[in-house]
Amino acid sequence: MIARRISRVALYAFLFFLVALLVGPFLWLTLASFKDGSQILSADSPILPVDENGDFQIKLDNYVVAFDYLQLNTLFLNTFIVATVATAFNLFFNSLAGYAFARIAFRGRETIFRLVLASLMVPGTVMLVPNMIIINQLGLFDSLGALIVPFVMSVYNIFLMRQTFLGFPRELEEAAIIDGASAFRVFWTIAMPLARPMLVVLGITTFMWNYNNFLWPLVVIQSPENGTLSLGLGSLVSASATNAELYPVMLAASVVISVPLIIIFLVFQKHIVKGIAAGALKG
Amino acid sequence: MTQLIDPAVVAGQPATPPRRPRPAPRRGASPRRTSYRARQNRTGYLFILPFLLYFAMFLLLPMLMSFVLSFMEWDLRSAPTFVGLDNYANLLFDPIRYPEFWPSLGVTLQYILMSVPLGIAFALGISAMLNANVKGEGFFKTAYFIPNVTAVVAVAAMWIFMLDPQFGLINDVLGTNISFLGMPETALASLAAMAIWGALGYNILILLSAMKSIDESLYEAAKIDGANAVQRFFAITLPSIQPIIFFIIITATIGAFQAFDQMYLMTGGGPDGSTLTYLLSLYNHAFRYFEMGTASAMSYLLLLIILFVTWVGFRFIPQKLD
Repeated sequence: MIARRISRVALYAFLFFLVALLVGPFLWLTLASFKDGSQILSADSPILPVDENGDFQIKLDNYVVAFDYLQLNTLFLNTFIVATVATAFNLFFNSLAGYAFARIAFRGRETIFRLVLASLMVPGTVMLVPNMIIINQLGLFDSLGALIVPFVMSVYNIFLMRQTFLGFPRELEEAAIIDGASAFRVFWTIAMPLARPMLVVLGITTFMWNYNNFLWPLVVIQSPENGTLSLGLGSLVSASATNAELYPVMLAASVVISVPLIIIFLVFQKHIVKGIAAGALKG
Repeated sequence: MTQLIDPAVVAGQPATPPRRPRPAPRRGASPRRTSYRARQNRTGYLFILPFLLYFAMFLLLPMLMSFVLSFMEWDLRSAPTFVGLDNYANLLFDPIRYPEFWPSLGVTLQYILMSVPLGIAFALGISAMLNANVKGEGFFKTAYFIPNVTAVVAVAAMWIFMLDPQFGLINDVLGTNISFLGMPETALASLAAMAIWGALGYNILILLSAMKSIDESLYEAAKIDGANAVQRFFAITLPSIQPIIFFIIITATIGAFQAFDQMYLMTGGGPDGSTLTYLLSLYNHAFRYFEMGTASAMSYLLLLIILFVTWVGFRFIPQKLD
């Protein structure tokens, strides 16, 4: 019994140690970002941001510099436009296609669906060069459109929506069809509301993915003012890798960029946790 | 959640009218039945029309373009010239022209071997612990997932700072001044450790929910037979969630084959090419040296590698698609 209790205590101690390991760095980073630039760049600076008398103090200087240096206002606006528009298109069109693959018995459905599934195995890398050329041909190079258009749909999410719709009982939809409702009406007023939990998950993951995407903006965006947060911070980060002087600004900008994502996650954590598990188990 | 559907998109979507004159029925079936079929066909294709356009434009066309380009030499400015299989042959067999090809593949494989098995082993162990009636399981899952929701670039920034030889937390704790990212011996391992750290919460989430779906009576029976926790883990838990473990191994491996962000941001492929992954090398060929043909050939070679990995994996994964 005592041995059991000891092992229980050890278990919790370990689990909390892991929390420190996985969350601690962010707290440390955030605390450091409130320090003076010179404090960040000194070898034995205390963990908490303090003034010369050792009193706790929060300095926002690094944040002011970061907003100015990276034009964070513009980048925030760009990122939110890109991520929101891409997510809106995704939610609607992926559901539409997913619903057809699940419920509408059109000719060639299985063949097309197999082709779609097969395309999941093609790594995004293959699309990198040609998509840049296509975007260029469309006249979208170095614009926000370049960041949205290639990502208005997702094969994986179509698959998930199809599985979601397949899981619903058919009776409700059939009753509406007998009453003379069009297929689109059934989809929009019956199936979509039922799918809301999955839509929330897909909406959040799509938003976050677009918010985070780094490689694609790196390829198609040239003017800093057309960039996203990831791209802006990225240029600062790769410069900081060889120049520690930039650390204070980099830390503040990292906090600013992470906070919206962490808030979204904490608000929707139940949905996200469920949805990610469901996605993997269905796949 | 706020409504994210763009109203303009909805308005622009042609709703399928329920009844309209149909084309003549085919094959002598009853007219009613055939018109229902035709209507299903029409509605179905209308529903997937946006997707078909997208599919053609941003998946099929690029795949074809990449394939064709892989037989060309093209610097984006002058006209492309056909070079046959030269790009492939040179990449594979001409180490003087492409000295980075094989090393970058080697680096990528090392990175996969360092990050994937260990990451999954940790996640398995921790999931098993969380599965032992832990109070506050939700709290732990949420906390462990935080690295996953932080901006990827911010994570890179944080780790540059953490690994800094002078000001970094890790050297503080160890009491050392090691330049983790500055030495060929430690740079790739540091990036692999960071990848394990970053994926842990995601893997735990998936593995734990798979463990939760195991039939409780299996454990009861094993307990009666006197199996201890470790024996139960290896005899029941592991075999039951095997398909999910394979799923994670394959998706993680495919992901790691395309590792780019961390290397580009934190080491730029150095020192001495020790972190020059396959995708970083591909990126350099395409957007630094403007060798579109070479980059395309590299992307098709990667496709072959990934198809092979997936094929190997699927031989082990029980098919669960319905």
